[in-house]
Amino acid sequence: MAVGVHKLVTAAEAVARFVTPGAVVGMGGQNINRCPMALVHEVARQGLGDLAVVGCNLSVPLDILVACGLVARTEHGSGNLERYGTLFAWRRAAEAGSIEVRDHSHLAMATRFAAGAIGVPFMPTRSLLGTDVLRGLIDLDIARLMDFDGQPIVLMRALTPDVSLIHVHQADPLGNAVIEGVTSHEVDMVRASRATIISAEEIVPPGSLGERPERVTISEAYVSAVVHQPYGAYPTSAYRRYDFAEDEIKAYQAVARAGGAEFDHWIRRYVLEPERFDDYLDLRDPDAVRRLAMSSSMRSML
Amino acid sequence: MSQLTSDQTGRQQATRAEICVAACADTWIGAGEVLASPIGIVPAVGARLARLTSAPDLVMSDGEALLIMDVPKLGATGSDVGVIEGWLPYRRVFDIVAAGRRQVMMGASQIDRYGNQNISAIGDWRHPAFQLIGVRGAPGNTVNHRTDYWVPRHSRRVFVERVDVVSGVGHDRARANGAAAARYHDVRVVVTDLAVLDFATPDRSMRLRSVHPGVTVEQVQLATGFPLVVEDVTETRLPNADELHLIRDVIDPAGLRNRELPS
Repeated sequence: MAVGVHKLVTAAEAVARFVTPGAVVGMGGQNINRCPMALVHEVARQGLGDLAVVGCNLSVPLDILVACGLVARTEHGSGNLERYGTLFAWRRAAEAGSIEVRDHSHLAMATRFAAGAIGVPFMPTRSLLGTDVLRGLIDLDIARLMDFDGQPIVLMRALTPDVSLIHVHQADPLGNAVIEGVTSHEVDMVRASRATIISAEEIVPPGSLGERPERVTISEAYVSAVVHQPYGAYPTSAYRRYDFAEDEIKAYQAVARAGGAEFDHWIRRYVLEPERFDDYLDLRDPDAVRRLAMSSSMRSML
Repeated sequence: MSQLTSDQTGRQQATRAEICVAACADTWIGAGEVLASPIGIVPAVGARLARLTSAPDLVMSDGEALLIMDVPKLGATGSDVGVIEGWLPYRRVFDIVAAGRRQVMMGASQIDRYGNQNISAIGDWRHPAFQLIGVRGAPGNTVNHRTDYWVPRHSRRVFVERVDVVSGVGHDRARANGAAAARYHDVRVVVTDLAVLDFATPDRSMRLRSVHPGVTVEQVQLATGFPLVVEDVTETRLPNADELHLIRDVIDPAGLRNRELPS
């Protein structure tokens, strides 16, 4: 007899239940790849503020939350969209002192998540030796400099987010999830988190991942809620499903760079006002031209 | 093949960007079978050129998760990347970094005479006057494996007496932090739009190795906010006709290199 807890809910239900004001939010995805855009739009719509957003290469989902005034602190290795530039709302807020930025390096963040994932209080690393970043992190009691066999070694404090948000390719209703292509820091991050919300391109029947169980990237044991959301990473990419939507990324960067009333209007019109993520997709990509056009070269690999 | 002139081939002489590509490519000579991680367009063209010429052992990825056997043109995705030989998700890159089986060329918002690099912030790390991109991989890269830098606009804003937030570790900082920091530290070359610089001096301070054709030593020193070690400066080599063909027709037919570094 098949048993298990079915966790399939709407984004609104999942976010209302597992994201609280003041939470440490683990952000999945990397720059223009598989960011949990649908879940982040929902957090913004519900206005859950005072968040600490943590991850490796934080990109447009962080920028949207900052633009909505919901972020108190970021911990990361970078805040950027690679060739499309820095995150502008994040940068403005950092320079204005309205958010606290704790710039760690990608490796230091991955090290902290790895410690959290295996339940130890810290993880040693050679990284950060000789940098000014280390001094800052020591002041914040996030890192310690120790001696091992007469040599300095850095201990990074474990990071255990209150809730992580990630977007995956496939999930069953119990939360067993498959990520194809790049898995970033997020596998360790999820294992370190108290709760995790997954949005998935595709929901598959319970037990259907059993044919190739080694493909299951994240076990249901780590997953709190599952949301079905095709194109849930748009305008970032989902490997072998759809490429990133360059026009949309550029449009966002242009309006975010400009800031002011124009940017506020954009956030209101496309993030806060649409009732569901599908409404945003239809507004920004009527007839799904961008979503479908970007799939052709990837489809040829299937 | 000998140096190229437009008369022999009927093609344009090497652009500044192409000279920089060749200089970047030369940083990978002798790297062996390591993961090549070039950040930026000119370094990316350079690494691919090296793999096709002087450093065929380099392990390269498609920039996402695949290790690729072919050398695709810049910007290729999906089936355009050619033959796939393996899978390297981002998390595993950290294990490769820690094991040192990697060589990277990164950017620098600021760099000092000992190769300390800053991409974190201008001003204080806690209270930045100007928030930069973030330290990314710089701390781990510089203490674990060879790291070179690419600076597309050589200026006193970049080449400074003292960087605001040391992100990538320079030679003095590595020395001061014992064998744990210094053992695998290998910051070797800085390629800019004007010159190639290195740290081949007794105290590991920055030396002007070569100037690009048409650039003077004085010009480089004027654009640098600290005194460079200047002795036996040569002229940066030109890419040969084979290399120009690979750069222009195979690796970067869209000419992205000339957008990062206009001639």
